[in-house]
Amino acid sequence: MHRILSPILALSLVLALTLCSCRDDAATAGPAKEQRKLTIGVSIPSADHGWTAGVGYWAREAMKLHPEINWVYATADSPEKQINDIKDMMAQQKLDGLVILATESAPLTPIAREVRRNGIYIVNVDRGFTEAEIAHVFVEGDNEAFGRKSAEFIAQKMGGEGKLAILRGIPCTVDTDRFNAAMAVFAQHPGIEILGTPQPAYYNRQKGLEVMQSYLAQFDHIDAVWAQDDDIALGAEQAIRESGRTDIQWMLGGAGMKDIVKRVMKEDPFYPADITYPPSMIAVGIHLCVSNLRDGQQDQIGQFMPQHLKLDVDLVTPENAEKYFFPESTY
Amino acid sequence: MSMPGGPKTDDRGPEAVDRNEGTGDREKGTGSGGARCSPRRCLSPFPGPGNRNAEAPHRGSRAWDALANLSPLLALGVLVAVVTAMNPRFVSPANLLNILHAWSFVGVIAIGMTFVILQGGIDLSVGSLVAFAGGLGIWLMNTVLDAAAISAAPQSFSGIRVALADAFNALGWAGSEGVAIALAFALILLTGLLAGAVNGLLITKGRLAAFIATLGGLAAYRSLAQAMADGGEFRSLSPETFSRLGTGGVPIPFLTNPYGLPLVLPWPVLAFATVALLGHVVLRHTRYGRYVIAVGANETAARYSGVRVDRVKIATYTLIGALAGLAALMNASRMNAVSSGQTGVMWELDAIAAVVIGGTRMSGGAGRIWGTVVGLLILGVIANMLNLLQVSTYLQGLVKGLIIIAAVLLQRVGRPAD
Repeated sequence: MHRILSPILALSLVLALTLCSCRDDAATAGPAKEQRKLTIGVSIPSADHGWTAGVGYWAREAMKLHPEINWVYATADSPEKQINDIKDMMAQQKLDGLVILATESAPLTPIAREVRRNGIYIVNVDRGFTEAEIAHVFVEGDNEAFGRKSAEFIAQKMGGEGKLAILRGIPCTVDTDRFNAAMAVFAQHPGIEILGTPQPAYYNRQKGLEVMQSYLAQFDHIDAVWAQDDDIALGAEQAIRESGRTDIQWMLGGAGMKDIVKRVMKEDPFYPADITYPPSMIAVGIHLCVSNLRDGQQDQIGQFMPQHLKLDVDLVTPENAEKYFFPESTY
Repeated sequence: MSMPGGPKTDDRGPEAVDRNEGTGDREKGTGSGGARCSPRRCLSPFPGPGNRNAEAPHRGSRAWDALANLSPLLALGVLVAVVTAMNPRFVSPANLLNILHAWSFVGVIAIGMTFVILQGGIDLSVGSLVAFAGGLGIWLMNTVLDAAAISAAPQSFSGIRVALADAFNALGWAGSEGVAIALAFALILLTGLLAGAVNGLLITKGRLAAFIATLGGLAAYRSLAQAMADGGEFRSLSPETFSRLGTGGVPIPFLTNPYGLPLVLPWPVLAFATVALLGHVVLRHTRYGRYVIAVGANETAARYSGVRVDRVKIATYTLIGALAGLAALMNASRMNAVSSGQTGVMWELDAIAAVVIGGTRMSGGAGRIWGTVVGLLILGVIANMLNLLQVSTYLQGLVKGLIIIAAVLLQRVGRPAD
C-alpha cells in the first residue's frame, strides 16, 4: 500500500506543482504584459508669464492623478531648448506618448514629425504645429469665441458708444484669432471708437504697463480698456493708478487669473467681468493621452475621436465667478 | 608651419626653440626649459605681461602640469562616470549622439570664439547674428518659392521683396526649391561672413573695444530679425527639403534608437567635427594660427615683430562671423524656421563658457581647440544630465553657472597667483 501510495502522491504533487506554476505563469504573464508602465513625456514652455505658470501647475496636478504612468516632464524657455528636451526624452526613455504645448509653432514642427515617425502618440495643446495632421490629437481653446465674447460684453457694457483702448498679446495665431473676431463685433457698433493702432503687450505685466503709459500720454479721454489678458490688465491698471486718471472706469482682461476672478467675485467696479482661457487645458491633453494609450487601443479610439478639439471659453461674472476660482492654482 | 624648421629633436615645434633662445632672461633652473609651459600646451610665443606662465616661478612638477592641463578632460570624465552611475541610460548611443547634435550649433561658434578669445578679443554678436542670418535666408527662400504670388499682389509686400520676386520670375526661378535653398544657403553664410568683417573693421579701423562693437551687433541683429518677422517666426515654405541638413545625417550601421529606427550621425555633428579639426590644424600649423596667439599674448610685441595685427584681427572676426553663419544655416534648417525673438539667445555666452571651461585664457594668448570641444561636451553633458534627472529648468542655470566657476577655479590650482 505504502509502496503504491507514495509514488502516486509524489506524482500528483509534481503534477499539481506544474499545474500551479502553469496557472501562475498564465495568470501573471498576461496582466504583466499589459501593465508595462507607460512612459509619457510632457513638454511645455517655462513660466514666462502667468498663464504659462498656470499651465505648469495644471500639468503637475494632472500627472499626480496618474502615478501609474512614468512621467517625463520638462519646461523650455526657447524652441531650441524644447527640441533638445524632446530629443533627450526620446533617447533617455522609451516614450509611448508626448503631450506638448509648443513654445512656438513652426520651429517645433520638424521635431514633432520625427516624434511621430518613431511611433510615439502625440497630443498637441494650445499652439498647433504648422502641419495639423502631425498630432494625433490637438486641443486648443476657442480663440475666436474668446474675441467674440469679449467684444460682445464690452459693446454691451459701453452701451454701444465710447472710446476703447486695446492691448494685444504675443504676435501669434492665438492673438490674431482673438483680435479679428473682436473687431468683427466692434464693426457692428459704429459708436465705439478704437483708439490708435492696438499695440502688443506680450501677455506680460511689464509690457502692459509700458503700452498703457503710452496710451495715457496719447489719448486725453479713454472710457474702457480691453487688455485681452489678466497679466496685461494688471500692468495697465498700475499705469492708470500711477497717472491718477479717473476717466477710465473699467477694463476687461482675460484667461481667468485667480486674482482677477476674485475681484470679479467681489464686484470690484474696475473688473466687471473676466473671460476664461483655462491653462488647465494642458490637463485635458494629459488625460486624453493617458486614456487613449492606456488600453493600447489608440488606433481604434482614433477612428471616432475628433482629431481637433476646441474648448469653449466662458464669461466670468460676479454671479458665476465662484465656479472659476481655484485658490490652490498658481494662476 | 610658419618657419622652415630644422631637424626636430622632440615633438616641440621650431618656434619653441626660437622662444627659449630668444628669452635669455628667463628664470634659470627650470631644467627642461619647456616643462612648465611646453608650447604644445600653452602656445605662448612671447613672454610678457600677457604671458604669465613664461615668467612664473617654477612650481609643481611635470605631472602636476599635465594634470592641470588635462583638468577639463578629467572633469568631463568624472561627470560622465557620475551620471552613468546615477542612470546607465545616459551612455546609450542615442543619448550621446543627442548631446553632440544639440550642442554642435553652439559648438561651431565656440571654435570661432576660441580664436577670438585667443587673440584677446570677444564677440557678443554671434547669437543675434544666428537669428538674423537664418531669418534672412528663410526670407529669401520664401521669396523665391512664392515669387509668383508676390508679384501678383505687390501691394501687400515690401518693395524690395517685390523687386526680388519680379527678378526671380524673370529668371524663371520662381517656385524652384533647388534654387531657393541654394540661394538661402549662400545668403546665410555670406551674411555671417560680412557681419564678422564689419565687426573686425569696427574694432581695428574704428578703434572700438571688441566688447562694445559686438554688443552693438547683439542688439542690432536681434532687432533687425524681429523687425523683419514682426516679432514672430520666419517659417520656411519648403516642407521637408530645407530641413534635411539640420535633421538628417549618415545612418550608422547596426545601431537603432529605442524605437527601432536606425541611428543617424547628424550633419551638424559632422560639420562640427570638421570645423573643430580644421580649427586645430589652423591654430597649430599655420602662420595665421601663430599670429592669433602672438597678438593675444602681447599685441605690441607682435606688432614690433612685423605681424600685421589689424589684418589678423579682421580675419579672426570674419572667421567667427562665417562660423556663426554656418550655425545659423544648420539651426534654421533643423527647425525649418527661425524664431526672431528666441533663436540664438545666449548662444554667445554658451560659446564663451565652452572656451573658458576648456582652459583658454580670457585675456588671450594661451588656449587650445580640444579644450573648447571638451568644455562644450561638459556643458552638453550637464544639460542632458539635468533632463535625465528631471531637474527643474529653473535650476539648470544655477548648475551651469557653478560648473563654469568650478572649472575655472580648478584650472587656477596649477597656476601661480596673479
